[in-house]
Amino acid sequence: MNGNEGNSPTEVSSVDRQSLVDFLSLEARYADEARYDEWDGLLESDMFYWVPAGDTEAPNPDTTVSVIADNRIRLKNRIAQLKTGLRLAQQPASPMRRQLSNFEFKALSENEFSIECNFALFEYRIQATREMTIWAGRYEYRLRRRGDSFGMFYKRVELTNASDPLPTLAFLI
Amino acid sequence: MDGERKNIRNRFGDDSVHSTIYTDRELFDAEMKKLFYDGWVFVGHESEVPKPNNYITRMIGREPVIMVRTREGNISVVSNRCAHRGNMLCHQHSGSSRSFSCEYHGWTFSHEGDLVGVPLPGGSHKDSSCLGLQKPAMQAGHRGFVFITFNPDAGPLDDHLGKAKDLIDRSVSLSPTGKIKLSAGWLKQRFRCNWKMLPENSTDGYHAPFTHASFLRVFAPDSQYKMLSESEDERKSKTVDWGNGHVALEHAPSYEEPLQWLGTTKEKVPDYVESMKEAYGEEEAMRKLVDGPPHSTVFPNLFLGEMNIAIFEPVSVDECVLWHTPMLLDGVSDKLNARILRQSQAAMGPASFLLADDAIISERQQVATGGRGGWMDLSRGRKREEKREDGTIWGHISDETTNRGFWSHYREVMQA
Ligand code: FES
Ligand SMILES: [Fe+2]
Repeated sequence: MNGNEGNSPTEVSSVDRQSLVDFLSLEARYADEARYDEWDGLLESDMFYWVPAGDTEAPNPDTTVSVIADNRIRLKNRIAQLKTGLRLAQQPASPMRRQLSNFEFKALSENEFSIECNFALFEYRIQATREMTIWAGRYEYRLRRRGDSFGMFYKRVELTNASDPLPTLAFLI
Repeated sequence: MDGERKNIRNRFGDDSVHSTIYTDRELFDAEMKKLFYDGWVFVGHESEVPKPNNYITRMIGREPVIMVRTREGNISVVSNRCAHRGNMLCHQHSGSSRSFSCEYHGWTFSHEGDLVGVPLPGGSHKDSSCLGLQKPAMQAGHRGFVFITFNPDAGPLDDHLGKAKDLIDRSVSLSPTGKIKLSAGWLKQRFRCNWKMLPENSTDGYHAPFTHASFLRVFAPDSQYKMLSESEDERKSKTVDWGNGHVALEHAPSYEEPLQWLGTTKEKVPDYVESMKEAYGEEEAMRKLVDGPPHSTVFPNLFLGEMNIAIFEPVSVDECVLWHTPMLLDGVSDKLNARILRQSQAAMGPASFLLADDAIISERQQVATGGRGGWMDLSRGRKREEKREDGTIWGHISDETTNRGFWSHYREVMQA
């Protein structure tokens, strides 16, 4: 007991909260700026990257359609395809910026954390229609301590309009 | 009438089509009527409404419809528009309901579209049998695929499907029970382009090495997609014009081993192979497992996209939606269906490794044809294609036999 009151297993200290938010800001910046290798460097080997879709009430990556349901290998391939410089859907990469807010933190164990937040992402579709597209929804991340920072092993993107027609989404959301 | 015919004729040249065919708003309206309301159109698959009262909603052209399984277990299709003052009856994409009740003034309709309840009936004096929901003139199905037409003179579905019936049979017979289940939900991808680019692109065997260069570089080595990067002489796949606007990329000649099209081998899925042998006999089962699924459009809006079922949905002259769902098989392991789902996700959808790039090309085509426009050439392979006795035309995989087949049927229907 360290005398830190209310330190139940699901609570996250304010020091950890700050470094988790710092990590997520960096993750968002790498994704926004198409810095694929640096983004990839934030991932753990058991990474699962999931954007469920459709009308299903109980989405399941093995039985219902997803926009993205990448294990580590498929995600490596997704990034390799972007890095060929020939991926037309991101050629050139969409200029974009995202904002994260309304964070909720939970400790899954001493070394693992779950963070949920809302996001709004403004994507300029420079490759094709040259329109600003707004993506919105909720992120859920799971991070693991790695040295004095973290590694990401889960990211779920719940799109507000996932059951309706979506434009091309070839960037890292 | 004559003006309309001329209007169509002027857009076709010698193996060429004028790009205004993608951009003319009046033509879009004419297509809705002639192709989508007066012709046979795919609505949905019976497995999407497995139980009585289950319904789905769809757009047929710009006409919203409901497909429902009635209490007796039949499939009924009705317009999704209240017969009173035009409110949309079901605004959910799917659901379950014993009847359709309108939220505006409370009229209630049966699954068959009959008006069965009017609140405050004192003011009603009309015969309620004249106030039912609109219904297609004809409805028919093949292997669970449901088609409708609003035209009583459209002729039998069988005549429209023609050889596409065999293609549907080939799809569903990859299941040992001969049944598919479209239960994984639909993913919908919005394209800012004319809807006809979807059937065109889906059966274009020429573009893969260029549009999909990034895909081939990353995924093709050691995969079933390797053939896409072979040289012109090496490629064995074919383009096929099956007639009636149904056109296909035929990949069977490229496959040597069973299940290559699924990126697996018969050793890895022994249960599936066994059940196929039991169902169809050794020789027939092996043939099915080597040839794989069709890659074919069924005019105008259905796509048998190998292990995907897809729908082309027009929205306006410069917008459309590509729906797709994995073609899950009845009578196979969950593991095999999960593999089908993963393959489907890789190929189709807004974040997929293939269709995301096709979408960009289509959107650029739409921008590029938005001005004066010009003629688009479709002559490739005309001199080397083979017309067979049964009327089908077979071309090299990179030839525009498929595009010509689509457009010649389009022209015929639109001019009629
Ligand atoms: S519009 Fe449906 S009851 Fe009036
Ligand atoms: Fe393509």
